[in-house]
Amino acid sequence: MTGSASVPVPPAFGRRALLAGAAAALGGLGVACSTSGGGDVSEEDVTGITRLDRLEGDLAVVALLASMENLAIALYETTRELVAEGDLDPLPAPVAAYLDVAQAQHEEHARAWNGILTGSGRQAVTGVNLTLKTTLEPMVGNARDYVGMATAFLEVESVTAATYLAGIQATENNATLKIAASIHPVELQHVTFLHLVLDREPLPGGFATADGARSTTDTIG
Amino acid sequence: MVLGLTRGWARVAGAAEGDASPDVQILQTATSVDNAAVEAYDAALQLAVIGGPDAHPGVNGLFRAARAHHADHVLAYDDALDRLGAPAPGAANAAVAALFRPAGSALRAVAEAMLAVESVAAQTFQLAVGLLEDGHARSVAAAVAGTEFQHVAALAVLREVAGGDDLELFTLGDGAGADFPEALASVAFPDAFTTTDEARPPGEGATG
Repeated sequence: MTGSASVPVPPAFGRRALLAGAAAALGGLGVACSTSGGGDVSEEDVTGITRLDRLEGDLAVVALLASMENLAIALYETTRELVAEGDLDPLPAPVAAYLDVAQAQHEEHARAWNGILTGSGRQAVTGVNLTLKTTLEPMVGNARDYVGMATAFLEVESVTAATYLAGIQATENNATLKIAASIHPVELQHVTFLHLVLDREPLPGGFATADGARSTTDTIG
Repeated sequence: MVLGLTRGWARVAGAAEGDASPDVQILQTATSVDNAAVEAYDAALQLAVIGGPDAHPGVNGLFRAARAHHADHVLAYDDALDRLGAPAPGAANAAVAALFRPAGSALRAVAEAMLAVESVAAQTFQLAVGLLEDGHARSVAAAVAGTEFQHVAALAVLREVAGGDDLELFTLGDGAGADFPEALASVAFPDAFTTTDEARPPGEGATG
């Protein structure tokens, strides 16, 4: 699979700030200044991408998907921190295992997308999708047990899967399309597993949908 | 765009030759594959361990839901063919139908055989996503592929827990979700990227 960029390190998810009653604002621009990709890099590129629609065509979709992957990684990292610091009860074994496997996969997905970006002379996206993060923060802040956290996991996975499907529908480039088509099912398999963990119908619908998909007007950071 | 590859049927080994357009051939293959899946589920639901009075209700529900999904997928592919002015094949893909041969009547064997059907179907549709030129048809294939990979995940879990107490994971509303064996995450989604290695040839089910 594609991707040679280093693993991005997303900013913390921010529940601790929520728990402390602090403002949720986190992170800076959140976009690494990569010079490894070659090609012409504009001044805007090196000062950071905060609006995905500044990228043309499929690259905006690629960056959007990278920001979604980074958000999932950040959520899972934050969950571990909450458990480690006693703010959340230890996770049941299947949920802990889910975190490990799913996060590793999201990291691979992010590497794939960032490999395309850096290969195109752009920067790797290390920030998260702030638009969806804003929606998730109350869920994380209110979670008192694994059910609450798994519900937040389900939200980020479902929205990410929907965004992949929307991306597949919008993408022109065949290589990008094929990568998206090989990741979209994995995100949906995460959803299925979470449905089982949450004691819900594992196969709730006959067709994957793009409902709730994020867009290239979202902000990252 | 730096990546200048284009979508294209001609790049696919084993592509069928014929009068029908590549998109029509791909869609006819797709609907034949889903027809085979419907037949496989119908056969499974005739088995005592799936459709009998003592079958686990969660497992029965899983098979009924998946069967209904495949029937809906056939309709969606047939509609996509109709939009392109082409006929739906109606028949089941013989190669996929032949995959449902449970090695015994036990639940694990049935799940294993159905998993083989679902894996090939899902991968065939993933391959189609990268080949179809028509935007509507591509969207249908992607929506279907994702769902069928969910079937794969659920069946992989079922195969793993069949025959043991963990089968209760498929009982909804009993709060058993946290009692999963730890290893099931890797069973449900073992790979970061799904592949098309087992996909049927995209022109295999073409009827012209």
